[in-house]
Amino acid sequence: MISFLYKYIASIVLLITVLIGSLNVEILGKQLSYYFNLQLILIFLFKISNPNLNFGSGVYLFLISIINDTLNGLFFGTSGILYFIVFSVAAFHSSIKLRSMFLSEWVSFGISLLIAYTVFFGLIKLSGEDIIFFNIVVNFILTLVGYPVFWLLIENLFLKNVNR
Amino acid sequence: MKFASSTNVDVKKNIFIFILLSFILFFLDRSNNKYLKNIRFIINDTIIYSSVILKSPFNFILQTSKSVTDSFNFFFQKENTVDINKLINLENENQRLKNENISLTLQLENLKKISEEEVYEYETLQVKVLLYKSNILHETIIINKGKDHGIKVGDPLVKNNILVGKIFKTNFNSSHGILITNINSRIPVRIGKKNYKAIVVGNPKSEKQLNLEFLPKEYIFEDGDIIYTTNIENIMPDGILVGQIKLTNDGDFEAKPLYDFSQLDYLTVVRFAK
Repeated sequence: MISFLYKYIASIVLLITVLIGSLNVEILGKQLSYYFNLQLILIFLFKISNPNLNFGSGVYLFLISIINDTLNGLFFGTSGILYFIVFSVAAFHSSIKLRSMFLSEWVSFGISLLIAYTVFFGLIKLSGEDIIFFNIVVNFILTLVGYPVFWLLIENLFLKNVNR
Repeated sequence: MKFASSTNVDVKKNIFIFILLSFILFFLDRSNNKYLKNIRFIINDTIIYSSVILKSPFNFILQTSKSVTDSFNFFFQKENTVDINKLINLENENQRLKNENISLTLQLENLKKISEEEVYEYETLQVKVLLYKSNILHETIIINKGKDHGIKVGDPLVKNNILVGKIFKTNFNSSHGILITNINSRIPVRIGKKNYKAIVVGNPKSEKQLNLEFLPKEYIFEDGDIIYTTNIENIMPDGILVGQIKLTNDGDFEAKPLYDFSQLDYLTVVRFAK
């Protein structure tokens, strides 16, 4: 049971966060997903913490991204592109690192976020929709700032004993 | 440290394949292809209804914790002595609101008589809001009726004759709606007794305010002027309440939506779009 959980925990947690995103948990009149993108943090952290984790060779990640697109009213593929950009940066970082260094991980997470949000901005413009640039900046900053909190939780609590 | 093992090469290959697949899906979905639409409708319906079932335990936990907190607050409040002055103030406030309600109802009746729009001539459909999502892009509501029930893109979503939003995507048995406070929502309106024409769009700075675009230069608003939809180019039915004008101290005005954000559990779709 425990090995099953370790195998699928990342995908399960990610799926739960996508579903929970539609619950009416609000801060200052906005849902949590307005402030930061928990999914991107989790994808990066899970991959960095356990380089062998591949979300079912990427299939689960892709399926979760389709669910997220549907629930958010986005075109199919939008979340998938973002998820796989962050996942690829995390995969690259975890393959070149010698040991876990929080700061370098954080910087590469920032770079992956920057690429992902730039692509997202482009995709939304391609969809012909207007977007409030300020919202993207707020979400980007708070996602980046929120990373250390989840790093503490996931790196030190959940995945400390996972075989690397 | 991992070197270029076969697993890592596979991962890189998969990442590339899935990014490519996501891009292809994005452009296919965007192209609005007739045949792909049906597949999309089925996928969307399946995901939406599965999500509603899957998130029900979380909703249950949230609601239970809320009712526990409410019960605790009630019990805690009962322990406190009742403040007579507070009660009197509340009674006065209640009376004032009742009077205001009567006055506003009369004003509304007069306005309806002026615009001759008491009779609502379109077919309506009661819908339940399944999900409410707010992200950096927009606030979406997902309702439990779709194409199979005659709902079309552009149909207005109303609550007590107050415009809440409009449908922007339909599936077979569910639909996505955006709120009027969204910057991508554009509603043709007329304002006040002089019926100034304008387009209402969401205010990027505040969700509790609306922007009025294409207003005539010579407009003069009075405090409390009502904003109604107008039937320009058959985009929206005429006469649905949208918002109200509030004059500010600096001589400017604010347009505020009239619908109650906390009352979005059940809505009405006016079947209008052609």
